[in-house]
Amino acid sequence: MTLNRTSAPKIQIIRELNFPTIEKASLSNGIPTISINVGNQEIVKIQLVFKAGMWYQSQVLQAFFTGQMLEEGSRNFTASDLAEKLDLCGAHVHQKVNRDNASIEIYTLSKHLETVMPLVADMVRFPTFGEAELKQLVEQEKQAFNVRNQQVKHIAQREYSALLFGNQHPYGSSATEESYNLLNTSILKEFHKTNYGSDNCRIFVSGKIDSSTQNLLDKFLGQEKWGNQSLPNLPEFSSQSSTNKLHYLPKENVLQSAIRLGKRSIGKSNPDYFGLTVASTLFGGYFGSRLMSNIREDKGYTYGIYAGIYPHIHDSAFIISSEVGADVAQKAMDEIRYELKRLRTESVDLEELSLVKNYMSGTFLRSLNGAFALGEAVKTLYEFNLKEDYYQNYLNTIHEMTPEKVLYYANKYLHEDQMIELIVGKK
Amino acid sequence: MINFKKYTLKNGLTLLVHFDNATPIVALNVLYKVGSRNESPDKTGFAHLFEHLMFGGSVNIPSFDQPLEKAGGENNAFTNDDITNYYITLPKENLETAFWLESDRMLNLGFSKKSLEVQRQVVIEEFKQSYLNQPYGDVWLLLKPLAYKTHPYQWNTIGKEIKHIENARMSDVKAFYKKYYNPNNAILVVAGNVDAEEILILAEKWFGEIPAGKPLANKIEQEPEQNEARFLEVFRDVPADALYKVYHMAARGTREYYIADMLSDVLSNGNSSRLYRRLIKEQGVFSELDAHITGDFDPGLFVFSGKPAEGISLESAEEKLLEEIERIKTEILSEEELQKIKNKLEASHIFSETSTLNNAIHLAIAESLGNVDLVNQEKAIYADIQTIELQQIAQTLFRLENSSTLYYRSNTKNHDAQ
Repeated sequence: MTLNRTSAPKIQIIRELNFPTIEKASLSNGIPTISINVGNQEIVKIQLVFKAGMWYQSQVLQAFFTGQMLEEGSRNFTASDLAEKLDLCGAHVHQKVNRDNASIEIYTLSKHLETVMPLVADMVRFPTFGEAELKQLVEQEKQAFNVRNQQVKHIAQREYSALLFGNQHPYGSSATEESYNLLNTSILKEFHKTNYGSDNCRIFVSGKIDSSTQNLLDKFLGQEKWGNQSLPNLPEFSSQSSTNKLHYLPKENVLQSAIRLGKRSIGKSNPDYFGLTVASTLFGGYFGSRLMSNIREDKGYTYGIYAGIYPHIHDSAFIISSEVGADVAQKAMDEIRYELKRLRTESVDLEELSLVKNYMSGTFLRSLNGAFALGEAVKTLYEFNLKEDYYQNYLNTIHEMTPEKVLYYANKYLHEDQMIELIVGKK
Repeated sequence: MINFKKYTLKNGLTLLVHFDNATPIVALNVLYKVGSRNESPDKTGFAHLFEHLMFGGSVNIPSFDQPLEKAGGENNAFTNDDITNYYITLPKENLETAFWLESDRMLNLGFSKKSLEVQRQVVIEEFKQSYLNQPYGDVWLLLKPLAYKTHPYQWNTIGKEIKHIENARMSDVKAFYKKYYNPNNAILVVAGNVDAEEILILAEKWFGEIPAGKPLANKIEQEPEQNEARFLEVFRDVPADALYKVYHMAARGTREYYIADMLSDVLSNGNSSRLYRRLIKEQGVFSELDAHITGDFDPGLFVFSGKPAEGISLESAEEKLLEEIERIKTEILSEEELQKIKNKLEASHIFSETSTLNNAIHLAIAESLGNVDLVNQEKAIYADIQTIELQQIAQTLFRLENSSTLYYRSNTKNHDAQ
């Protein structure tokens, strides 16, 4: 029998998620632990999460450098001791500080957890914030900043956040070379003292876990309350988008311009969020999206163009971003606006919509694949204060989308006349 | 331990199946044994441009991406000096869609004129975005021709110059496909919660009838031993000076290769590594410094790259780096330091094996090197390496006459100093 190569094999549509049980417990001092026990390998990832992101800082870079300095020496270990001992276990410890939270991520073979935990506990609770160490770190970061600052992509990212949220808002403010010179150890100590306490901490565990994992966490982080015991008040900020819609930042000698188009948008807990992500994925969120098909695959203006919702805890944004040939920046902008208008005025055909739904369900399955990915998904639930059926609801909503709903969400949230435009480079 | 079963189809296609029941996702990976080292010097960037054309639709399937996305799948590809590798991940239930798509573009690619025109332009934008419009983006465009005078590694996968991509004609593209995109020059890997016998049946069904191509001679002229130190200095609009120093080393898969890899770990993997600890943290000579190997199939490069700290000249930074290199040549490592590196390697192996796709790609690469068992032998090789071997390889590699050095100077810094 000759093979029929023109028709596609039958496919199944993913409708159910097999989300593993989330195990909730707490350490003796009350720190909540949230665990996902999955995987065949004897490895574990632990994340200590503090509400200690940029939202809580009183000056730019304070949260970031507080996080970075944790590995630069603690009460019982010098920076070199810490590095040596962690490397001897083949363990990795990273500090991550974003707009809302600060976290310490530990990746280790389970058998070394007993060695790793006392090091981490000392780093988190008793960092020394040495003057010389800070000075050196600041110099390194300043140099890296100056390199980034040459790239149109980074300039656009920084300027665009300020246009969307206002340059005094934690989501819109960013460092200048000057802000590096304003750092000192006392403001980092102060930030650490206020925000890195057991009452402001949550622990997420994923990987192959047994009772010894929880016992070790309790032994090194749970025996007593530590750090600040009166939780800091949540600072309040209100976002203020630029009222001027068109922005241009010229830069000489560039081959490509960075372009941004977008507006403030809704977050994960808004009932429209799921539907809007379907509309925005169809528009610019995957390789076959309308933006990619038009601006890369048809016109060849760019290597890549992407649109998506960027949800923070207190506010969110819809952003279209790309780097395009410097001579076609305005043409690319025109095409983006054309596509935005088309999205809200012409009904999407069912074939395209069903493709996007299936693609998104597959992406769901991929993004919840493996212990660490699941751990990350659970962390998101807690950070955004979402219910455990969030992902299943998300998947259900994707499948319930219709062309009418796409039009509705596009008109409500993605109107081209409301977008703020930025071009960095040439236009 | 990465388990696998190996089969060879009548048309010469190698099939490897890896079983992993911890995931609902399956990975299908097709590696073609062609990279930029197979290009001719006046038509560089071709293997990579061709990778883009592979997404332009095949004779029976006008769009590659759409049916895959419809099946909940995702795909990507990469080209390097030695191989072109395509991979798909999708829900296990829809695996046959991946077989259908990959086999059709191996059987008969569409070659639309529009696809060639647009992808030429996309690749030119990629060239600009990654190599020309980035600070330090052209470093490898400078370093490779400095280190290689004979071997095709002297050009980058993206191509020597934009002109070569602009000049690509349809006839060149078709000839390239005919020569290299054949089952006997490819390796198919399927990884996930699958049954090897069933996969073999699917592979026979979709790939079995694709005719084999002519066997390839593929003789690549090897680089003669370098006998003189090479040096290049450039000035660019970047905020800080940078130093690059490369040494020729052994081919991938040899014992010497693994020893060099370990040497790069001793020098710069982790916060306790020598270069980080001594030259960044203790002496404050560099603000960034890294040592790594290029991982090429033919003899590749051992690379040092760094940026001197504020106020330190390239010359004195280089001198300090050379002192550190001298130390690893003259003093033998302690057993503790060796053990630390072995522990780190053990951990990174275990972490890497949690990804089904990583395992699939790893298997394909080992098979294309001619020894699929390497995926599991590597661990034993690393575990067996002795301190004396590290010292010997350091002495063999890190010789002045085996080195190429690039001073990448900042125009602004230079201006300030005047």
